[in-house]
Amino acid sequence: MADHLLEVKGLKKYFRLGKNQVLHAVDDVSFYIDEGKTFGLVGESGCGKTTVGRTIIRLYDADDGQVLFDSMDVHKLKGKEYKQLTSKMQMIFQDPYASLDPRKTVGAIIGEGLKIHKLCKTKQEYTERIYELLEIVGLSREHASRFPHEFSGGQRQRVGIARALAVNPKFIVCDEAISALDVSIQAQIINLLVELQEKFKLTYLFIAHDLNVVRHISDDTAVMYLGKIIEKAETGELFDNPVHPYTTGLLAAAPEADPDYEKSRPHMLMSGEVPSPINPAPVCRFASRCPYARPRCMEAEPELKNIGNNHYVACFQAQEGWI
Amino acid sequence: MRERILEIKDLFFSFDTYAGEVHAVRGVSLYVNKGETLAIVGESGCGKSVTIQNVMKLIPTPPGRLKGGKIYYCGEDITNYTQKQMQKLRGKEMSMIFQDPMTSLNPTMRIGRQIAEGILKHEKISRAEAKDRTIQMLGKVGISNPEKSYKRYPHQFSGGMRQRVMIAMALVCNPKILFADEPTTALDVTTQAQILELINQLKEELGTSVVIITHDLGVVARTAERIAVMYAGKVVETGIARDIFYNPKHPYTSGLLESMPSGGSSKTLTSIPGIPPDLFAPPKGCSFAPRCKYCMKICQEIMPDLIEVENQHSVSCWLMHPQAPKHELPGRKSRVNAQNIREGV
Amino acid sequence: MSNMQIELPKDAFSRVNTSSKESELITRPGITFWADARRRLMKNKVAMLGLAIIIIITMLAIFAPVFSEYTYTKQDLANTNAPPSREHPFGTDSHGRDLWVRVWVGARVSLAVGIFGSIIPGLIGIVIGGISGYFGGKVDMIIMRFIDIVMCVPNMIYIILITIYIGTGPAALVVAFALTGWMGTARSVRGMILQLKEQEFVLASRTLGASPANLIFQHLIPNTLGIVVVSMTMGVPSAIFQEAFLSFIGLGIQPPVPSWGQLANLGISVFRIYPSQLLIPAALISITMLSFNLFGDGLRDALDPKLRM
Repeated sequence: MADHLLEVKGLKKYFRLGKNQVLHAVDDVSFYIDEGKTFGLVGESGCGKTTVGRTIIRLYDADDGQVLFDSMDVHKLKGKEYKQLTSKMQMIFQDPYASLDPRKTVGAIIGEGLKIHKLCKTKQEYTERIYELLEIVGLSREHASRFPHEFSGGQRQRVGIARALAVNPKFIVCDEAISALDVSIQAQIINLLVELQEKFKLTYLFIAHDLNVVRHISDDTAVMYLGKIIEKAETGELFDNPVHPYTTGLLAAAPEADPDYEKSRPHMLMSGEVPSPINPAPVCRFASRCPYARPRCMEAEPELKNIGNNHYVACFQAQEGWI
Repeated sequence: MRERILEIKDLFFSFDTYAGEVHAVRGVSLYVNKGETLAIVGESGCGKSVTIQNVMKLIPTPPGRLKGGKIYYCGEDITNYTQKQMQKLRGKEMSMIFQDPMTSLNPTMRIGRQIAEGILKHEKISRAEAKDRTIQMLGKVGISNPEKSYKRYPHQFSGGMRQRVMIAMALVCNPKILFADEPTTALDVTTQAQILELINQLKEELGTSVVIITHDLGVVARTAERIAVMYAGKVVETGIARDIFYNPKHPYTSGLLESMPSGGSSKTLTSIPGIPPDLFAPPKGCSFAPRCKYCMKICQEIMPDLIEVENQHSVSCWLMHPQAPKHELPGRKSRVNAQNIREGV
Repeated sequence: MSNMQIELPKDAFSRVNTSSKESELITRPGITFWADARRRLMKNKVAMLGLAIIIIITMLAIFAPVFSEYTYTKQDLANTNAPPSREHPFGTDSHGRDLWVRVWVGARVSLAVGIFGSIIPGLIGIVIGGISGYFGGKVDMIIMRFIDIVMCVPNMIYIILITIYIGTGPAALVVAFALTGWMGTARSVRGMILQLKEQEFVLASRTLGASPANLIFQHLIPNTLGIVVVSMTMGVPSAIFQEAFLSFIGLGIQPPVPSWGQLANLGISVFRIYPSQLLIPAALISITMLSFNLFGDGLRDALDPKLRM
């Protein structure tokens, strides 16, 4: 029995874009998730969080490092063992309009996993299971014969969730699963995900760019920037005591639904833009925009270190208590 | 009373589709004061974009169809303006920026020229003058090295930079009103903060009125002075920002505010059940009734009028009727000291 | 006077329980992708005109020779090169054969070769394009380079060489078209599949453990059917013309079996004196090609998801 349900060790994923242009999408990422917990992964576009999610479930091959699920190395499994793994690790995708095959009925979409893994012995069992799954996610039996384009975004996400649940997974990667939905629908889906987690003892990797939602749903959170995790801690600790300048900048930039607070807070804007993830230099990747940067930040890359209370930061200044 | 730059009265607008008529806008009334920022908030399908696109007359008719209502710009009735008349207004008096900058930027033309041509269409100045003003504007919106950037193509800029170019293009002729349709939805949080700050700065400097359309309540809280909340093609509540956030009177507004995570301890959010109605067959009575936890018999029969209940705070809900039971609708709680709130307006 | 100020009966304000199930109903009538496409197609008058002409010509091709007493070989040397009359609606040729019957039997040949000569290469193209697009990498590169090189030489040359080798006749022509005509479809299918491959619904199926065959045949290819159907429809006039051209230069369908191209060839030698013998088959070739093109155009518009309303 493994210590942690999912363990990611030194994961690297690069994309080769032509001669000598290597995009460091995921560069030495490590973390673990215990069973029944939710791990939040935040960052802006291009930070590599989606690539992490896809590499973990082996939609992409890893270039280096390991992903251990229940002590099994995900990227070394073959044949039958690999197929079994696909039913244990599932994913919910971001775009409700692209994640369902427009040519298939909702019932067929949900039932695909049932067919692939031969989970139902008779046609009747199959149909009943599809109805059951529809109802678990808050839809109804009549919806099984309809096509994706007839549904709203939130309803399509529910179909995506039902599809993932059909194969009885233990671990689900929610890749921006609610980002494309309206606010009131987001709340419904978040509630659904939480309810399902309790009911089926699921473990989630929750990838998002909306800090408030991640704060609400995750037990632990990591912040990514340009392919690296730059801060990681238990959620409350991270949001109450952010240390890395990027994290504080991110939290300062995110607007809150509180006009008095918004009008009173100083507008600290992060300068510049995210540099290119192609062939990055071996220095602190945030140094070019960091108000606390010192010469040593441009000479070496800071490692992720525990600064107490299981709060990890990758920043020279922070590690020495200067921030 | 402040001057009203824009006033929309009882606008009705539909689309004719294969399945029938889609009632996209069903009696919308709102106004924008000079120099203020109005945020129109609502979820997808509520009609906020269609309403504003109607002001600029950007929707092809057919399949769109204006069924009724009036639009006034600076007091003048522009409801039945022809496209030719609108072309004189667009760019010069009123401008629009969109979620995707690529929709208003020609990918095959250098950005400098695109902006300069816009000026030349409305003002009789020399090409050199237009170029100068463009370069000045590019600098104002934060594009580094404006002379060099003048000659660049849209694809050579990042998403945030393209948004700045679009803002430059929209404001270069100093229009009285700027419509921003989800201007930062596709941007990262940090870029969004920069763009919102930029719009605010320029607004102060140029005295432009801004209408910002968004579904993001955080953005609203940061930028808006007044807010109009829309649902299913109608305005359900309008008011100043503080009233809407801390003291909402419409159950939809309240439900929306409650469904946002606020760092509380419970893992369940109070969500509004169900989905918005299909405007192909809008329900009789109040369109929010099927999802409303305060729903009363009258709500299912007759649509409530929008009436002003406090200073500048208008609501369309039967709970406002003198005979209706009194409910305290939950709103947001501010981080800022309650003392300060009472000392404010 | 707002309705908020009107006095109302007390029970108007009694609470009503709202069920969330009702609010998840889908009120719009369900419509599948194909039904919607059909509806849009039927609204397109020009496309419908094209379809009508195709149907009329097909009907005539099937039934006109049946109802005539003449056959396509029966000669009447006493009545050669006759002008159109009630007896012979299209007149007779230099051997006294009834042209009306010959034209419609020829239609059968030309249409059959045209239609099969488009469908079969289309199917081959789907499979090859599907494999190339799905597997990518070396497989894709080899297939695409092969296509690039082969397509450098005009199609006609291959077809002529093939017919010299395997002989002439409708079946041989279809084989020749099949061997040479799949490449265009393969390219467009491969392009679409490269795009579709990265779509989230395909990734979702991979995550569920679907095999490559599963993915290609259940998800990728069905989603390319739109362009394939259009491609095949537009391929028919091309095949008809190729057959006409070959027969015209004496290489395609050989006498006595008629085809439009062959009839045009025969007609050309007497064009100066009896122009109708060339003009009639030529006109039919043109009208048929045009009709397929118009219909194919309409089909492409109808199947384009971006134009959905």
